[in-house]
Amino acid sequence: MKLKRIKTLIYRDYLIFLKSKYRWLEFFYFPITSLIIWGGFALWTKEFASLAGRIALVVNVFWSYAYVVQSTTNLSINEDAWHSEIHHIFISGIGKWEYIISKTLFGLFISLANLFAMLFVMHFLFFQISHMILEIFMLSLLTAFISISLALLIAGLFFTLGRDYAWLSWSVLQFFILLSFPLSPLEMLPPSLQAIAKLMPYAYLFQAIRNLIFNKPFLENFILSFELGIFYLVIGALVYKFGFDFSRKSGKFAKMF
Amino acid sequence: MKAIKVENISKKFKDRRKFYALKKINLEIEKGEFFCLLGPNGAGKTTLIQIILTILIPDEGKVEILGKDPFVEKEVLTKVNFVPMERPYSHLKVREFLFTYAKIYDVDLKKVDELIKEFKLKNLEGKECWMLSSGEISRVSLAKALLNDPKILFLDEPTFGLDPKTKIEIQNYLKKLNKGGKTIFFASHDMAEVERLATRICFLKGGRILDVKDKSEVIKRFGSVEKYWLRLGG
Repeated sequence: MKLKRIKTLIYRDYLIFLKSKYRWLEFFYFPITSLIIWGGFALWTKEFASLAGRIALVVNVFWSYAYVVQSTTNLSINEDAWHSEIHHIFISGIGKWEYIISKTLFGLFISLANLFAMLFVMHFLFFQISHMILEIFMLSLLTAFISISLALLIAGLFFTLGRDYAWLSWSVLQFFILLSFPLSPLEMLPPSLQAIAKLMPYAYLFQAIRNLIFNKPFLENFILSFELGIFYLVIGALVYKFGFDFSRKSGKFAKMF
Repeated sequence: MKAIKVENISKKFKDRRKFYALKKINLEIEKGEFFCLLGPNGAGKTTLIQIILTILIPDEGKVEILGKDPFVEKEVLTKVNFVPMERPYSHLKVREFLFTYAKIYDVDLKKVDELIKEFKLKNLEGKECWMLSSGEISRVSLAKALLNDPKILFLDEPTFGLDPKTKIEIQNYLKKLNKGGKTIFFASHDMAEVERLATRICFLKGGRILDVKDKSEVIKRFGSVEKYWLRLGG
């Protein structure tokens, strides 16, 4: 594994990102516009359900951030296939782990811009967060960590199933968020849904966020979410390794152009 | 030490009724050869190149590049390069595209300027790759493939779809590279092109080798590559 090659791949993805206009939409337009919509809701509910509005707003920020980290990572893999570059990259001696590490680091670094933009808009337009900056920082790290684990899983599925399944990059996370029930405590759910939600790392992340807004302790859920995140990271890494090797056996990788 | 050694390579694709894309392929290519794989579409030319370059894993068999197994010693791939049939349609500008691969191969960035000059890309260096014509992107693709001064250059139908002038320019350039000592492994279905370039030809059909012969022998005994191909039942 060579650090120089990882750095070069990150720089390369950055250059491509700057020129991909649709990525800017994914990155700023959708997150910021939905944040403003929920911000308006939070302002309105201030009079009669202040905490509910705040929860919706803050959950929305982390939901969008989770999506941006995961999709930025996976879309940069898709683009290598769409642009017929993926073979050029791999015949240069770059290994599968160098490749995925560069993609995840790129996803992490570049998504910070999205997070700062959303926190800035939230803080100055709707809801001051300066008193909980440490907690926000911790939750952001956790969100990024879980999303990277999912990105590995999705990358593995993409390689396994082939380029026709590029749509997984912008659809899988929504399903995980759905099953995590971001706006309702797990205890409120029917037992069957509760059982599923308990397997979702985002479920505990959102519970931690809700507790934070309610000024309740949030560390327990934070740790549960982190532990599940580690589990997903291991699964994601295995699926990626299996998927990459499988695609070279099945011929899916050879057709990625 | 051979430049390339292929031993008993077989490959089946399950999604295509389990037919053999390649069956028991054995080849040895010496350093400095201009080796051509000749065969119709679906003969297995691209599959063989993809296996040698580790893009595909064979069902059985072994590959060696410069005496090393590329599936185990991946770094040997930094000593070769590839011009695939599919051109890169990157959003990167030509200079950025070459620059990033120069960094990946860890070569002096002066090499990028040399190749831009060599392939007359100066007026294109600020254009994004996807905006280029077929001929232009072929030149970029070839320039990229020479960044690491590869000992072996693999090309998969590099002149496919090009106008005659660009085609001849690229063919002449490849001849020049071969004369300079580079081993060239070239896949094509264009018999005239193969006849013009190759020193040795592998006739491939339906995933099987029909024959491997020196071009000079083919010409001497049968008059042309095309005549021998027809005689082989190609």
